[in-house]
Amino acid sequence: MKKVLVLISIIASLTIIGCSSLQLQPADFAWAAEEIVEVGAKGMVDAKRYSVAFNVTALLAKEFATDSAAAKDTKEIRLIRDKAGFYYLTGKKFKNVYVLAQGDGALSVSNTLVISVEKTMDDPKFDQKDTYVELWNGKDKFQLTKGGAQPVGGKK
Amino acid sequence: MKKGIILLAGVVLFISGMNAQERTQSDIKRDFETRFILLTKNLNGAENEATLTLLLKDVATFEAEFKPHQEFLNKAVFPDGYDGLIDRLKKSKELAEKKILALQLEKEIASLTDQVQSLKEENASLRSQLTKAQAELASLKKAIALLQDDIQKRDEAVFALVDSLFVKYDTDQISGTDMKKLSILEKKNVVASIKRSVSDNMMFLSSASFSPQQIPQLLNEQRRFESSWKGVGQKLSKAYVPTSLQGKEVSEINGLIANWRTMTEGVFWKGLNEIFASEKLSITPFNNGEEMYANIIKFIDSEIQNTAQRSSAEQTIVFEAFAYKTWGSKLKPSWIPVMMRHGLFTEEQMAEIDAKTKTWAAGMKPIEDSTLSYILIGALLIAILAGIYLGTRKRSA
Repeated sequence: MKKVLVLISIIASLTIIGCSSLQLQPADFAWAAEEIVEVGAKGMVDAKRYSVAFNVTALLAKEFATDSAAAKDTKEIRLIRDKAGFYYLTGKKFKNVYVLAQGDGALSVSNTLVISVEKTMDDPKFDQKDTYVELWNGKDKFQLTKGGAQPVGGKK
Repeated sequence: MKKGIILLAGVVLFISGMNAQERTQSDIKRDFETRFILLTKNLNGAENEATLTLLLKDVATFEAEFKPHQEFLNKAVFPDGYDGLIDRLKKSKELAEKKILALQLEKEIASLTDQVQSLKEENASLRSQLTKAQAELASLKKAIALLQDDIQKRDEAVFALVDSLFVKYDTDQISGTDMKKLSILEKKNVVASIKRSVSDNMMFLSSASFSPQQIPQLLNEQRRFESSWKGVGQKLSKAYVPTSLQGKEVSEINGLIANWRTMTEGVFWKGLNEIFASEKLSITPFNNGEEMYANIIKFIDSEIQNTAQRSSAEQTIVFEAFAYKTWGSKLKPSWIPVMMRHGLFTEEQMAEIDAKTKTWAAGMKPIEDSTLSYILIGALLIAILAGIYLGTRKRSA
């Protein structure tokens, strides 16, 4: 009986090891520059160069919860992807940058990086850096990672 | 095109301004793409060399300005990247250069075509003018010949009339009968007619141009008229009181005939000089028979002395021009007989020139003596025949 139990344990261990996913590393999903993409009538955006298209209606509703006119007026958004494959999305009049992760036929908001609680951004821009994505808002710059936003120079 | 360049300049200025500030990589990418599109558009639209030169400078600036971002742009600009777009710009530049060259050639061809057309039209117009002028010249020559003939006929008629009236004048005394005849003359206004004849002859001389064949005849006519007038004029001078109207006209005619003589001689010597000049013979111009003789002799002597310095062909050309084309074929048959008749040239002078010409020929090997003798005999025969003809005409006149 003891022998049978040992055998079963060995077989079970091998099965578990055999079922774990194979990972290809290292991988680099970074876009060299941000894409400025138009928001279509039904809320679709399409970054043609990278063959990425998704609907932002829900995201705009979330950003401009109390201001549906601002949501409607948003004609373009800025999008960039970091090395790890996370998308960063923002636009004019936004207060936040959204970190999106690719799922099964969808993008899910993995994190919302608050840039300013009170003031909206006038002309935000993304810049790809080696280990992070940089956000420019006028003269202010922020280091963005999927975990958070840090003002460059330690201020803010 | 101009708008495009201004716009491009604006973009460059704007971007230069931007360069003063910091730019994100996205900004650099966008500027690169925008300026590339504008430069390509301007290169495609360039229509002259000046515009192209400016654009080429812009292309060089563009390439240099974005060179530091080459690696980034090669990744970010899809699908060509920095290298691809710069290559495309260079191709656009080459195309623009070829296009401008083609345009310039097109313009040149159009201009040359216009010139050809214009010259063609001008040519056609000149041809038509030439045809018209040739017809006019022929008609004018005919008119001159007619006029010369008419003037001569009238001169002859006037002198025939005067001769018939003075036929019995053999003394210097004017009798009553003679005075009666003179009054008939006055009625017919013969003195005025003679004056008019001289004036017409002078006008004819000054207003027409004559061929070398016509000129000796002009001298002949003038001398004949003068000779006729000498006889009649003296009689008329004696017949009229110097202060009377007729008396004044007689002395006026004397002056006019002297002028006519000068004019005729002017035309005569000019015509003779032109004959030598037309054959490019270096005979010093002359204004009388003596000078002509001296200058011809001098010319022949000089040619004889120069034979050693000239090729055989050159010697032959000059000799033929003098011996065959002028002296033998033109001067001796028609000019010299007239000159001799009116005391402007002598037999001895002619013989001397013939002898000199023979000596000249002897010094030239290619021409045989016998040939020259034939030529000179031929020329002499022509001269004799011309003399006989002119003599016959004079007698019949």
